[in-house]
Amino acid sequence: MAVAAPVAAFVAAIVLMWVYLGTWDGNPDIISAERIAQLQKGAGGDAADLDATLTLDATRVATHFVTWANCVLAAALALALAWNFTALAGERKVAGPASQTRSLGLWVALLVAYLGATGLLWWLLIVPHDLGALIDVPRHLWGGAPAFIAGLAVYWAGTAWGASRVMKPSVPFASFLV
Amino acid sequence: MTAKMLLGVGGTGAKVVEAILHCCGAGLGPATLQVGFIDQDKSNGNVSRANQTLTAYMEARQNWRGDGAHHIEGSDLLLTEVSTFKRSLWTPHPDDNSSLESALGDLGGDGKLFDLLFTQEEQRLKLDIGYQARAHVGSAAMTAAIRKESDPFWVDIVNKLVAAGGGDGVDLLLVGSAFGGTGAAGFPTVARLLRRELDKKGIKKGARISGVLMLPYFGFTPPKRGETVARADELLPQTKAALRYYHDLFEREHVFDDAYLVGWNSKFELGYHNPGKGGQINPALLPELIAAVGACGFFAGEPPKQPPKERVATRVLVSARKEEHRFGWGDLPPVRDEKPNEVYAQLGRQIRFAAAWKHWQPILNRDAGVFSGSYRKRAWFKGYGLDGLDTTDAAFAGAMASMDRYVDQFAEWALTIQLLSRQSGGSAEMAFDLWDMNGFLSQPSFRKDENSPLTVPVARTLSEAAYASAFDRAVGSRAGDTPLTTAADLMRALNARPRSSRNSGLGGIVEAMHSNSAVAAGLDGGN
Repeated sequence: MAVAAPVAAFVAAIVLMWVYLGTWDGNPDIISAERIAQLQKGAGGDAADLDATLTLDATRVATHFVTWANCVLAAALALALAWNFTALAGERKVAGPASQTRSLGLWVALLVAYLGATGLLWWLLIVPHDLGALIDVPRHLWGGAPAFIAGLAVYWAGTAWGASRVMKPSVPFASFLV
Repeated sequence: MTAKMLLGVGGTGAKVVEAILHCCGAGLGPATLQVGFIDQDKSNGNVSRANQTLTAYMEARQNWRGDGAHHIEGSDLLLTEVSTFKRSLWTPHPDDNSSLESALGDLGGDGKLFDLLFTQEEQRLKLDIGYQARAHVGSAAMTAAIRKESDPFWVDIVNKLVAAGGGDGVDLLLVGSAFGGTGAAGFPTVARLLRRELDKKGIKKGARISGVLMLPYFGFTPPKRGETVARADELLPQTKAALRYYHDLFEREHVFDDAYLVGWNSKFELGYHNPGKGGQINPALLPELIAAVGACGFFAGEPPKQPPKERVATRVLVSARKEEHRFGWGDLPPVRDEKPNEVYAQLGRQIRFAAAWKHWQPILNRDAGVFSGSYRKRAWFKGYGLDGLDTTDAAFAGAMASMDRYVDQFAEWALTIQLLSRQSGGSAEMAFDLWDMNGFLSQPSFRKDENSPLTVPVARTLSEAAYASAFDRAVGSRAGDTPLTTAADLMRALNARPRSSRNSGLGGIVEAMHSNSAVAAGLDGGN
């Protein structure tokens, strides 16, 4: 379970993200009104050119967000696997109920690491591409937040399901899954 | 089913009974066992402690293997159903002012013979603290008491012996010492009188009477000048004379079917002396364990197949260790020849279980400061149905307290044996390779005071770290065996799904703790 659970959570999350961000691919509706107005002004009323440009813009935006989502989910998977293996090794020192939560500290540390990783990935994969010129702030949130939350879910579910019954108390709220 | 009976005669006999009870608790004893003590010194500390062990055992068994709310099934823990005779202790002359003179009463014309055989001092010796190493005085006094005895204890023994001997059979074991007073006097006397009771009823086939005879194995500080008590330097000559007597008895008379002789070639020095009463409370010593294992072997044995007439005289069994300065599991006799590892498996598991209990007891008891509310969501808590238990009812409290008392008695007994064994190797310290229970000490730097009785400070409970260390170190794996499971392995097992649903209440988790304290899979433990 230490490997299977996080991988299963990762696969489920990545499929969901692909399906969700697939609706962005080539969809002009995600492009901001400012960008559309700017293009309309430049295109001189040629609707075909406008549509083609908007489609390309949307595809470009979707591609960056898919890459970002892939990386965020991969980071969550890696951290969940890292915790599971460390907890498995630490289980050899758990002799009583009190230390069943001994890996909680590491779990929180890796959660913080996940938050840091998502920030870093945003800065590396989204910020440099000036997507702000193509989509507005709420759209950024609609692209970033689901992947961020899906990553959290991968980390939590991957550790809660992947932890042995001894170490499960080290994962917050994992008892809901026992 | 053959009835099994055990009589501890004197203080040393009581200590061996104590050891037998601990072996029974570990699953080495018979299915049922009736236990009694005989001691002229009714407040003897050794007998009192053995009686406490007996009471603790019976209470724990009643709570955990009876029909109560907390039931253990399919485990060797407290396997033997122990009961007592009508009373657990028989004192031949209970009156504090009794003497041999008063015990025998008016002897009429035999008074001169009495004067010839016993000095004035012996005739008037107060018997309230036992026979004080005067076995011949004890023998005469005890015979007199038994002959006119209408005491329920004695009547009960004779009736049960005769009934069982004439029915499914009976195995009676007497344990006592060849030295000292009550044991030396009572051991052959009681055996012969009981054998005669059987002979009178014509019961020869179904009854086995055997004895465990302890030879001198401990020494003590010489008593003050003028005290009429046992002296260490008199023990060996007394024993020599006693062995001559037994040799003649075995040749002449069919009293014992088997005789187990246990001694030690370099005595355990107690470093103090208490003549009797409550002060005579000697520590548990290794030879008593050897005797106890031999006793379990007797109870596990089959009744003789040959008709009595064709049988040879008493079979004498002697146990010896391989190396003078080392004592290991291989030096303990097997209970059953076909299971050479059984004693290691059963006692080793019991010791590890004791460590586990000392950590888990306050948690199962939900003691404040130890039990966390979050435990209610844990796999072990849910798996063993602990959430549904009423922790405020008397059955819960009784079960927890009785097991606690039993485990404390067991841990103190085993730890005492360990601590006193190192000094018994003669010129060099003996390596005690049975168990290491230092982790059970509440004072890790504890050292025995050489000149006072040993009181072992056993920890009431063990923290997780102390428990893990105690559990993992308590018993070593034997050469060629795989390493033993650890406290963490036990934790894993408790978090796995329970195997048996035949247990009830706390029985499930306690049975799991006991079975997962096993020293190795596939050894000879278990039923």
